[in-house]
Amino acid sequence: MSDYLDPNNEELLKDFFIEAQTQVDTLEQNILVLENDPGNHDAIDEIFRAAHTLKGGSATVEMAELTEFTHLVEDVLDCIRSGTARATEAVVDVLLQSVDVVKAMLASRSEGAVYHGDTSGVTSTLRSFIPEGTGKAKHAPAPKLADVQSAPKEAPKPVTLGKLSEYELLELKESADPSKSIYQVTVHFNEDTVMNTVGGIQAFAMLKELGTVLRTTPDFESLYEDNFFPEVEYYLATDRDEAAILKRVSIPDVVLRAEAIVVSSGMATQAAPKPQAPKPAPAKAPVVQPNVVPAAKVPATPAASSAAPEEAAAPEEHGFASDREKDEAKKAAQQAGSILRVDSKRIDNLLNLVSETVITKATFNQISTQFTELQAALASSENQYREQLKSLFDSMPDYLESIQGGRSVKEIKKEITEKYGDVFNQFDEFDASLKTAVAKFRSTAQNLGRITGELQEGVMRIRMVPISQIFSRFPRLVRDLSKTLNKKINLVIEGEDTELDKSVIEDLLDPLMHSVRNALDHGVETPEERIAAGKPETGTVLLRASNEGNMILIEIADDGKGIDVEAVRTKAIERGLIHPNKTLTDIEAFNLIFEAGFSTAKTVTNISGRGVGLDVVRTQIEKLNGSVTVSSQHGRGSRFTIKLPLTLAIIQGLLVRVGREIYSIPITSVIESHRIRPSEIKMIDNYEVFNVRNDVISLLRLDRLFKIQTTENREYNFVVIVGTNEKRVGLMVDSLIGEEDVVIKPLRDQYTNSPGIAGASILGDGSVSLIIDVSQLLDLGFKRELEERRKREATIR
Amino acid sequence: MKTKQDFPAINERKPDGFRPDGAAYRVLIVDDSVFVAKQLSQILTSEGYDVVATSGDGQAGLDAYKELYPNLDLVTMDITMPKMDGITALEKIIEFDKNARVIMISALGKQDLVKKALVMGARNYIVKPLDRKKVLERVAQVLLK
Amino acid sequence: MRVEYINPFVEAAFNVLKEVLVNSDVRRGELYLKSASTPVLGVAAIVGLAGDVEGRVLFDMNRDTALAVASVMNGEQLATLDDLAKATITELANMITAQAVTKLHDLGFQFDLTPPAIFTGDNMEVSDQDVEALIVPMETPQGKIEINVAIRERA
Repeated sequence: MSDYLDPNNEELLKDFFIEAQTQVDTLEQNILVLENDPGNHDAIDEIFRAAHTLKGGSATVEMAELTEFTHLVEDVLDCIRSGTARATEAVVDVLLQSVDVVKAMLASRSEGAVYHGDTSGVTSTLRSFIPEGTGKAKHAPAPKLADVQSAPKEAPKPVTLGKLSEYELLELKESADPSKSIYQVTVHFNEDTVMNTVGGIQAFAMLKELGTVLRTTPDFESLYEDNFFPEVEYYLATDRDEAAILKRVSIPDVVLRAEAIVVSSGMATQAAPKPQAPKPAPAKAPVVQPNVVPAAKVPATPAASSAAPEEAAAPEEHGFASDREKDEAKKAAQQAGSILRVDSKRIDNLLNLVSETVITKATFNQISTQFTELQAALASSENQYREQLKSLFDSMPDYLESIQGGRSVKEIKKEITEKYGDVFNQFDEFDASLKTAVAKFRSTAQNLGRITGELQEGVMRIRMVPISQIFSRFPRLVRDLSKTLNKKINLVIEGEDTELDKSVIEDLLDPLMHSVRNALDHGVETPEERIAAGKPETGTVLLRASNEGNMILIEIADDGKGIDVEAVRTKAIERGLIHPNKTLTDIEAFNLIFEAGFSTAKTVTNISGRGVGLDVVRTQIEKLNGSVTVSSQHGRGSRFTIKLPLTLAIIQGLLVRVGREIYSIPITSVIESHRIRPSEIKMIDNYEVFNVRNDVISLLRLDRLFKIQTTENREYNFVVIVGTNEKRVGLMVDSLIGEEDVVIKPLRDQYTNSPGIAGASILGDGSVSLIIDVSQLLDLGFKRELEERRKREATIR
Repeated sequence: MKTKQDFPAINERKPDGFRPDGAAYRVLIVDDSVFVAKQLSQILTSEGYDVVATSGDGQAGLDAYKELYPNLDLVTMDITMPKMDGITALEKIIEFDKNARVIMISALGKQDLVKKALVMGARNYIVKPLDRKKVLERVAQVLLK
Repeated sequence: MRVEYINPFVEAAFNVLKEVLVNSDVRRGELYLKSASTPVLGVAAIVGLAGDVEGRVLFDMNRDTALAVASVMNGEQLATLDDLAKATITELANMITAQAVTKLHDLGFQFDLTPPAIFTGDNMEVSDQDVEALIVPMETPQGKIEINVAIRERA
């Protein structure tokens, strides 16, 4: 490589990170292929190539630890390629571990630090697969890896932390703010306190004030129930130190004692303590705790905390990136994240459309000139007309006189007609020209409409990325999970070419992961159970994406044991969600599993069963203006269906009028609309409702809700029924205007908290129309109901 | 009469009710039972706290809080009250002032509500029947945090 | 009406009264089933129960007893049955019922209490339909307090 490539060049770094990410993805995918098909040469070649590229790239940007490591991986792959080593399960395992190491190294580097975890386990395992004598010697020094043997006591296998597995630790860290440290806080409770079941929650509340409690063992739901736990572990992400945590959580009478240990240290940002300060570095610094750093999975201690020169464990200068460098590296990595890869054809299409708009603009210019000319023509015609008329008026008396003097009327008439007759045709020419101009204008406007529509679509399509971007993470996830759960799972992915807006994709990953985890944990049975039920030993999970009109459909289906409606019903009664005598239809039961805190899992595993997952899934999907439903057959399997609108920025809205205001209701939420007379409105329990076929729908008067003046006594009222099939409400408006494409402009003003409003839009005539957030309205409606009820109950007391 | 000054050797604890700067902590009691309110008030005033107001239901308590803010150090909140119960009042007070210090007063057997309150931001809780020592301990703990 | 329901109330009443009446001599009288309607002694605090079991508990005493008990609880002699005194008796009812409820929870019954109400008047009667009522008389130096329990399992 040439000399003047500056390793700290921002552009270069940016490119490196993008490419590295691609290589890592390729690595992972192909390793998984290799697992199922150890003889697949294409996969082996791909892996080799990816490792090689990584090695080269990292050398260019002088990330020696990466170069060294990937070189080793490349060696192993070479052996496999040449047949001197075989791709056994053990090999695949270590390869996947290596990918994790690479990821961790990249992550550290993207924040300007060097990965310091102990990779000795992985490297020695890797080396063990290289038969003697075939390993290529590399003379590049590798002081970094060898030196930082900070946790030599550690067995090279992945370590479970307390009761957390590697995977979960990684998960925790992903969900936490990387700048904070994660502590495992163990609290021992006093059984003799009066309301001893409250302790768990009390400690939780205290810890919550210091940061974020990522999870608890036992899980939060159990803490909330009426059980006493003598010991509870809290995983807290915070920037406070151990002393502060212990002080906070040591509630007199309730807590006997507590301990806190660091599980993962965060990035101490610019808090590099003054080098002269003799004060001991804060609790974050001693990250290198023996039982805390599992072999190769935890991102490194940041350099900043080792800035105190007293620290003997301070790594070499290379790792000691200055704050500025760190910032830049971080910026580079972040920018790399928000880059879109776009098919050049789409850009070409847009260019085409843009040139068409330029042409249309020229045409409008022409038309504009024409109109100006027409205006002039009109003016001149008008003048002429006036002049003629004036002349006629002036001549009138003369003619009259001449008639009196004996001239015949017929003669006069003829004269006048001759002289002033062309007055009638004065404007004909103008008329014709105007007609032409208007026609031209209209057609050009239509054209422009078409072009802008296509432009709109085209630009949106640029932001569309294939869903394979997130689907590709699932094979690994499923593989790891199925190993943990000891279940055999076959993951089938369909429709990965389906495209979604980039921002939607990012928000979809979490809910999808939850759902898949749910299917694996609760849906698919163990191999023994499956065989006993006459099913094939390997369960199938289907992850499919497809287009349906204006919506994207994502299905997560499994052939597991399905939802046990009875169990759901029992649990719901237990939790007080429904009355014991209420019979549940299957559909209602299915929907209950989305309630917060609901879980029929008999045992709570570390994966799910916390009862927190599915309601979060539903909320997140609804935030994207989508919906999630589930259908299931007991014993046969379940299917979760997520529906999302294709775009977030432009929706089709139903415009309605309330008083003098116009509101837009997203079409996707509109079920139907009715025109009713006031007499059809009945009162139940102080609410207005009305009948639609067999159902009773409660009414929400938008004028009252949004405090708009309208005329109360109308002959008819229009009701738009919105919601989903399960939750519905009727919105009463003054009139329906029609359907329109509505561009959503979010109301992001922090001072405006407007429940029920999702955003605003500017209509064609320039007026503002507020867009109704249907799910909020549904909630609002129910909240109001509850409040009214409570108010009434209170007055009865 | 012998006063504290006469016994300087006795390691006296300053009454809890006073701030380091000497002023008394100002407390709002929200409870629908005149009896409980009186008891609480007695316990607190005997230790130097200044009970600035008592409200008989959640709504009145919320209004009082808003009026007295920011010259208020602590609120004791009964859980069951008419018009607006303690949990709702707590919610609204925290909405209004996220640093509000509220201690819930609860009868035995209301664990769920106490937990809910704690998660929502109450600092601690006291169980009825009121034990003077416990009340003072918990109040002090909340104020010193 | 099962014995398991009654005992917690008796125990709770005993404990609480002993505590608030400052360790005075509190004794439990003979339990008896109430006849159709019983005259109320003059002051009654009633607490409702809803959940696995439903019904109500009534704390019944005459005015003098109420006044005396309230006085002891407040640490000062109250002259009339004013708001403070009534609140005190209400609180007493609350405390007893809450303790009983905790015990019942431990036995596995899930339910909740309604806030208590206090009735004062002369010539009042209480009648119940469909539920048997059991009276637990408690003798205190301040007078007799009858605990009138009528609860049943939810159908």
